[in-house]
Amino acid sequence: MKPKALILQAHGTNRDFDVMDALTLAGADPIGVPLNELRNHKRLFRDFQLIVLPGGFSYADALGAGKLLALDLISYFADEIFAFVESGKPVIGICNGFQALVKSGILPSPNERGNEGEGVTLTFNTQGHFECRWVMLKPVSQKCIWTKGLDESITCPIAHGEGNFQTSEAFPLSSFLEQDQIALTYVRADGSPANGYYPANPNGSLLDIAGVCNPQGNVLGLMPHPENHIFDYQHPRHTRGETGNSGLKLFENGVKYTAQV
Amino acid sequence: MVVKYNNKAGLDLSNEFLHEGIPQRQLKAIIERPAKPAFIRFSVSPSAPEFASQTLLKLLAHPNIASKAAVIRIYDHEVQGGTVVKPLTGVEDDAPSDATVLKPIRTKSAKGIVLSNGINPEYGKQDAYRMAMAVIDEAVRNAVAVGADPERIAILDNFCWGDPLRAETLGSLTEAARGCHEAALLFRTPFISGKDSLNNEYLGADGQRHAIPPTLLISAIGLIDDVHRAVTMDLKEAGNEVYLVGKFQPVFGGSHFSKITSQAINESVPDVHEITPKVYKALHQAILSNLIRSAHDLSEGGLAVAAAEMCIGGRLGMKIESNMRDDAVRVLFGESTGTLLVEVRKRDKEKILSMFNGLPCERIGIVVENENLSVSIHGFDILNMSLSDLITAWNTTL
Repeated sequence: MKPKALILQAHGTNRDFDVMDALTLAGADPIGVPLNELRNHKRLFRDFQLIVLPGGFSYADALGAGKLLALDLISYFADEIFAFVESGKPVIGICNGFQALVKSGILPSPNERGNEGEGVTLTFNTQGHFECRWVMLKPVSQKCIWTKGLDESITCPIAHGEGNFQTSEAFPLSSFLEQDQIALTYVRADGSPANGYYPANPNGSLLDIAGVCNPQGNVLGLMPHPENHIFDYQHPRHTRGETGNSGLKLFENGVKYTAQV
Repeated sequence: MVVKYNNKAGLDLSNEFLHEGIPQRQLKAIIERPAKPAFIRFSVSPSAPEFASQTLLKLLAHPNIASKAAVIRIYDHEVQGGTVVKPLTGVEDDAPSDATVLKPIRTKSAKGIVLSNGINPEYGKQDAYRMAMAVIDEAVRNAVAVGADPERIAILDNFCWGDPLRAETLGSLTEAARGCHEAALLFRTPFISGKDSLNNEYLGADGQRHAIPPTLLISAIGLIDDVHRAVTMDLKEAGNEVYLVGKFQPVFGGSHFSKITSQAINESVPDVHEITPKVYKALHQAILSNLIRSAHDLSEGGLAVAAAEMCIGGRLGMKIESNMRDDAVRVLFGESTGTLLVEVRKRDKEKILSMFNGLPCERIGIVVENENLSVSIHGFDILNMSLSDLITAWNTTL
């Protein structure tokens, strides 16, 4: 019995089918669910083993990318989502999904219900515009069930204008680091740290942070799109014979973990 | 046609009037024949190499030729995960692809779609008929370069023209339409759609109304049977050989060389040779037979620009040595339709020559490890440039 994955579809979601293909390859049964079907209880969060908030431009990024989707999540589904998260089941928010998870307070630490976490946000890229380019990611966190045990870096595209992970002085950065919550960082092609340099770090994120997880490790949010590198022919240099470093293992981790919850 | 309401006729029109009754406009077109071309010969002088280097750098930096990365990257070209050949390619993802190859999401076979374009208003300024032929050739050539089957390509037109009530403007429009008709038959590419934008006029410094240059954009859609076989334009490996395929007839009419040097402006615009469709068929067979390691078409700026772009893509050098009869400057910067540079493994020399079987296919150089683009015509060293200078010129403008 394949684990059922809920792929949340909001107005403006555009990478639902991309991530469904990745999850199918990873061994799950992905089901696209429009937000309204959850609102009218046609579908229930608790019937699923895994939740995905896919990429896109939900609500046209009005009031900030992911803001209105975050309001939807907290206004209509706060109890259900927090229960799902507390149960330890895997959740992944990609790009717009990550933005929604941060702006609803689910990431990095779901202790303030409904408020964007104190002093953390995803803001405008330093270069001041949307950018689409391939990057290299280093899996870091061994607490995060999605990145645990991944020893190979992942190359995949970013496609965002508001991916700049920043914290203010109010944010408990040291405990965040102690809790192994940095899930992935941007690195150069040779694997060395980007150290803030563009374009290896494509948006100016603090500490080259590409993705973070909650203290429990079951919720991952990341700006890049590993779901867009699951086939050899997607690699930018496949015609030069370069393959590998795909995003598939990250999804396989999440799917495998559903058996343990 | 009769429409009644409460038994009273509200409408009573004859169908013939309705469908055939509109008065047909009678317009006048004056077709201006292009002026008799004057050919210029560039003598081989000691200052020629310096002139050639400076010209190549200026061409690579020209906004029409330079890298469009700044524009390309602000659009999402990865959504749906099907972009097999991306708009920017090569070792550093910064060289210009000729066409895009897409594998539509959720399709089960390995088939892909190829999308390409052709446009050149510089040609349109002088000869609208030849422009139409040339840009259809360009769109087809770009598609074939990445692996599209030349026998399964369809095109669409996009006319941007001035006021057709001006007789000369209607004349150039008529000539472009004639070129579209002939090129579509020559390449056997059906027009499946199109659009026009007329009445694009401006007030000149002379206080007079002028039409924009006659501009025809041709977009092409093709099929590739296996996306894994797609070809990109970045040089792959030192030691491989470089061939010039297609009928090379370099001229300067409407060229970007003339645009930046103001020289040779009275030459004719390139025409399309009837052998070209056969060349594309042979190239496609060569691609299917795994003989083509990289391919890039010649367009604005000519052979030198095409070679430079391939070097930029592969972060490799190229050494061109040719005994072509044309003078060196013409070989480097003259523009021609129907031609491409292709990279072939040394061991496949016999195979590629036999595949082209008498069609124009000339070995002109090799790919080298040192990062230099050097060109020697009839023993005269006309060009020797470092890759880093080429990259800087190409990447800085936009």
